[in-house]
Amino acid sequence: MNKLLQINWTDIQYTSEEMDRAIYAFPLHLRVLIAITLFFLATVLILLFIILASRIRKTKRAERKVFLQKKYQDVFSKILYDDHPDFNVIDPKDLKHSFDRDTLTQEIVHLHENFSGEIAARLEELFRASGLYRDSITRLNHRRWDKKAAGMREIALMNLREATDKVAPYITSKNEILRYEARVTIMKLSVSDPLSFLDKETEWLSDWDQANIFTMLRKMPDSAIPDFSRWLTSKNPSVVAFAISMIGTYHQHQAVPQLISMLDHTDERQRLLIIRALRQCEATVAEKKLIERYESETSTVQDEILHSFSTLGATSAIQFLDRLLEQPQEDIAQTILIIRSLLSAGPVGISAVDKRLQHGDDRLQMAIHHAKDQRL
Amino acid sequence: MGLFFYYFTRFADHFILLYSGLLFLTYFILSSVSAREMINYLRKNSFIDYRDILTAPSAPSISIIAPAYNESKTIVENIRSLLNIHYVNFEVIIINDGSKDNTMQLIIDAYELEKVPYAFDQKLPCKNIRGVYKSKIPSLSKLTVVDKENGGKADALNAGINISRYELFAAIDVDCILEYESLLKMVKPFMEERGNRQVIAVGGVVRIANSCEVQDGKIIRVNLPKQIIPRVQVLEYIRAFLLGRMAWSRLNGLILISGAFGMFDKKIAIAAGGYNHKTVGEDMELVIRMRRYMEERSKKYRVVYLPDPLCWTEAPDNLKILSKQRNRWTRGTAETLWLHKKLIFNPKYGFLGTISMPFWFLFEWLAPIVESLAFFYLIMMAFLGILNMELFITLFFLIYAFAILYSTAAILFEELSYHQYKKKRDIFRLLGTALIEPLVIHPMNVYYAVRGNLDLMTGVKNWGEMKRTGFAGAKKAAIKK
Repeated sequence: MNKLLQINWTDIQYTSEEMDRAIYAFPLHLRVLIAITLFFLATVLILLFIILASRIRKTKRAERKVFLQKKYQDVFSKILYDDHPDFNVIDPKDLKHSFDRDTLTQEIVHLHENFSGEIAARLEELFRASGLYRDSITRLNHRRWDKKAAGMREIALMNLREATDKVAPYITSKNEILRYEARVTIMKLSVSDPLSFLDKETEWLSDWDQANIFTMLRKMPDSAIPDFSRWLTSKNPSVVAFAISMIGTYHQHQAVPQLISMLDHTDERQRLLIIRALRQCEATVAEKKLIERYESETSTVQDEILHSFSTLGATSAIQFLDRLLEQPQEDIAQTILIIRSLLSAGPVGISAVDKRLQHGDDRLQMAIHHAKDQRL
Repeated sequence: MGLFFYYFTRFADHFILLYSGLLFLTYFILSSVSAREMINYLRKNSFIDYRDILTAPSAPSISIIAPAYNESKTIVENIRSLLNIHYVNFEVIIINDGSKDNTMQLIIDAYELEKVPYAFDQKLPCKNIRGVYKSKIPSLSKLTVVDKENGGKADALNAGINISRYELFAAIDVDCILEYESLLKMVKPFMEERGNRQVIAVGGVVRIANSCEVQDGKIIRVNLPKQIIPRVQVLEYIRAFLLGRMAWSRLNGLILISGAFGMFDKKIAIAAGGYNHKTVGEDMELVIRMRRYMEERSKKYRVVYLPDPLCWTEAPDNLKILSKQRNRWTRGTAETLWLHKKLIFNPKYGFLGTISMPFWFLFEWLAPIVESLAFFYLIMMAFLGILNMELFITLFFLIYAFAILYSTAAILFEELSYHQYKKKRDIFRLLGTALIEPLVIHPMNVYYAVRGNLDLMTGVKNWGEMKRTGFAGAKKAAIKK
């Protein structure tokens, strides 16, 4: 048995000439295919190495993160709740490596998000005293845009006002994320007029951008909320849309006359937003103009007008709405809105609906039953 | 005859080589584009706080439409899971598509439903609706249940669209488990529309939930499936979603949003005609029709795909169900390509006509047919004793090496991006699966695809029911382990 397993190495040792002969015995096309196959297999091995290296790195980092979190849990608690906290508490060893510094920054920023007032100020002090703030500012010069954006986010959250000038140039950046982060940072750090960047905004503000600006506004004191009618004349339609939306959200009644005058706007979306804002401002004065505009409007805007009537309980629109019910409606959802507007207008409206219930066709009766049902 | 045979074999050899080469090249390009797009996406969204949407006045409202057919095992839990989705303004519409079991009664009892006088326009064709139900419990006002005659998934989804109230709708398989922030993530591309470029549909990654631990309708621990068949599908899904669709999204050429979970602009979907009853590939067909609608009106639009794992679904765990599923997918693809044959290689439809549709025709639908013909060709050559053994073995290893390389690249993408399978041995199990798959499961999938084409030609219309074991079973299995 042992003899069988003994290998005679001299039998399988080839000279380079023999190897060449063996390889070149294959035709060219086969040699090419073999080379490609070997290339694929080599790439598999490289990818495998990257996968395993990545996994080991991730595991080590996760362990280190947990270690740092545990180590500083009590330290940060003392900063938050001690009467006279010491801000130089971070071990210099833990500030040597960028991963450790990033982890500590994330921890402090995360804590900061949950606090305001004095406690938040203490965390900001810790951020400065430990020197971690320098990383955030350095990140602004990083070649990668996502690192710059992350730096801006940290600067905004940790109130590093001294970095305002360094962030400002990015407000006109070609990269939309940098532009957006710069906007939010300037808003957060600006002492007065946080939305001044809207005056110069030439890029389109998407609904997503607007949502983010609104999130920052919500965190500001009421005194910092500007009069949004200032941007109703902006040349950027998306800035106008945002201003209209905010007028409604913050119930800025003083802008109602200007909004009513804008109801003839050529852009359907702007008209839609104006009607919504008027409704939020409970501007019953707009009812007459809305009735005038109804016939010439698109079905989407008509729905919005009816929704406003139903919310505002528009008594002055009863006759108009009742007349609408007389006409055959293509869209049953719109018929339901008309009926709901009538029902919300008080006893006169309700009686008008009841009359239709007795004499209307099946389709209208179905719509009335639907509109009257509180569950729908 | 001899001369004909000589030229035939020469042609066949070159065709197989050329086709394989083109396929390799296409996949290489797609994965390169995908890698770039994935890096960009991850960087862009690494510090996004999706909760901003919850307070935004501009956040759109969403109708979630979930058809249910004979889902009595899991329906009550599934609805509860859908109602707990993290979003600001949404409704959940469950369509009982004429279930033969007690699905409807279970929902009525569990959620205290009663019939309501719901008035709606039948904007899209669908079978007779027997009744619309709402709950007596005010806190369940988001739930609407529609009871209708059986008409298939497309028909049920059309009924749901007719009933829905909001401007966006999400079509979802009722047994899917959604991630906590999935709706927030799906809605973001719609909110990012700028100027006149409209987002008409958004799709997300569907992941395999077999062997995962599920509690209260949520995935609490991700496990790699223990059985080989679902594990192969994990690999397939990672390849298809992370390497394929991500690239198509970047190129704005995506034509398939998984029927398991997708979000659509309702106005465009209705204008395009809604879901088509004539195909079992209604998900792909709708996206193509919506794109076609936009192209024919020269409107700027995008179909967006998100690489985040948003939805978890139970995959077939035995060959019988797998064969039915793959058979249906093939028929769906073939039917859809046939319905829109006008678009293939048609430059009038831009990227859709010149690249997306030809790719699906040449490399998705045709690939299994070419593979099986090549297989028979080799057998014939071997039988006649004229098989070039050296070439055959070399080609075999070349294709096998490429298959492993492509799967390994997919595993790398997964590892560097979402890192769902965290156990050390999971990577080795996935790599092991990548070695086995081309030799064992892939040939079977090719066979099922060919059968699908044959069934289509012989007029088989079966949707291919997926028998669910339910996630409660998955949880138990995981705990037992």
